Amino acid sequence: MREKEIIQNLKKLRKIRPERDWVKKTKIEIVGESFPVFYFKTILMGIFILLVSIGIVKAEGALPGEPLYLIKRGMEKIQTVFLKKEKKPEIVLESVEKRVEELSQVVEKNQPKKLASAIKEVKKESFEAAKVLKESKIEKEKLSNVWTTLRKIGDVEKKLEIEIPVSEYENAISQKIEIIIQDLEKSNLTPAQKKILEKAKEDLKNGDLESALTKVLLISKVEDWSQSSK
Amino acid sequence: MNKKIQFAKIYDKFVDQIFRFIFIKVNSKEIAEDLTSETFLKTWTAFSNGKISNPKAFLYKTARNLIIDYYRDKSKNNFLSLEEIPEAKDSNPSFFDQILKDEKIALIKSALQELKEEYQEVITLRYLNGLSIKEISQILEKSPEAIRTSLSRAIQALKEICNKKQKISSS
Repeated sequence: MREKEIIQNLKKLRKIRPERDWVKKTKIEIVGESFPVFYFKTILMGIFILLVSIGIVKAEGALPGEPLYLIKRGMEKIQTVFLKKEKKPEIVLESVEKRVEELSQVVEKNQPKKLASAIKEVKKESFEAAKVLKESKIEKEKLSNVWTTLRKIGDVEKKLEIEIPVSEYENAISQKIEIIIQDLEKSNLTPAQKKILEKAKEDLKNGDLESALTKVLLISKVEDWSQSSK
Repeated sequence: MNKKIQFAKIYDKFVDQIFRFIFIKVNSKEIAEDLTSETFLKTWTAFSNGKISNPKAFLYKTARNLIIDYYRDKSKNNFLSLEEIPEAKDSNPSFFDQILKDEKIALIKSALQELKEEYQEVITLRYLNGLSIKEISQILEKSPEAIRTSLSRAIQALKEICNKKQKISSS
């Protein structure tokens, strides 16, 4: 055999190579996932995080009956899981406020298809809130936003000439107003304050929670202010 | 770039070469696989600690040391398992059947394995793995001139063995 022929045949031995399955398996054993898989997974994870972030941002403005609304509610539920018990009444009132705000938007934007879902959400949330409020104490200052909520419910009821089924919630608020009235009766009120309190009791008796709440909160504010200035 | 990604690229580039280099010396697929994976594992450990400037040279040097250790252990234990006997067949008999079907290639392979270690190494690195004289000199830690001389002598020695084998088989 000539030298040239020997070298040519030697080069043919380059065909000696390990089995591909073994090469792949050993690579994973040494450096973990193979490069393309590792890279692909990282990219996929990035896309997933991006999509979830976009979804969450978009979901914030979602209204009942829209696909992203479920994500919005899910996120709200997750946030409440880690709450302390004493914070719960405040949060349920805020939730009712949000649902009523959504209902107002549906009415304002004139989207009748979403109306039933929006009313259902208000009913559900107010029922939950009533349960929490009956079982726990709440500072009277925290009730100030309830006034706005009640007014908005009233506006929608007037506009659509329907009744929003939130009686449980109204009963719970009514009880809280009654407790505030009882506390105020025990304190030293001026004749003018006493007069307003009487009117508030009358409003409450007539079922006008909005007016009754406005009046008791007004007396409470003056009362708190005069006590702190003494 | 992430070190794992960098090393994965090094692995892909050199795994065939290292396996071939080891296989020619040990003549067993299983042992070549074990020593190849150990070579890459040791190189990865050093690479991840930032101790390597020339991964290719490091891989070959590690492989050489592991082959030396393997033969040293083998000579200590006089009893040999079936897979450690150079002539023993691999568990998968079809492994190189296709390559060695060509009589001349089979002849070259068997002649190569009869060469002394120094000649076997330079021929494998130069013609089977396609390394340059400079790269071989870095791995074997010899001057390029010494490698050229060694290579020329190795080819002559291989030629002689081949011709001898051909004569025996034809007679």
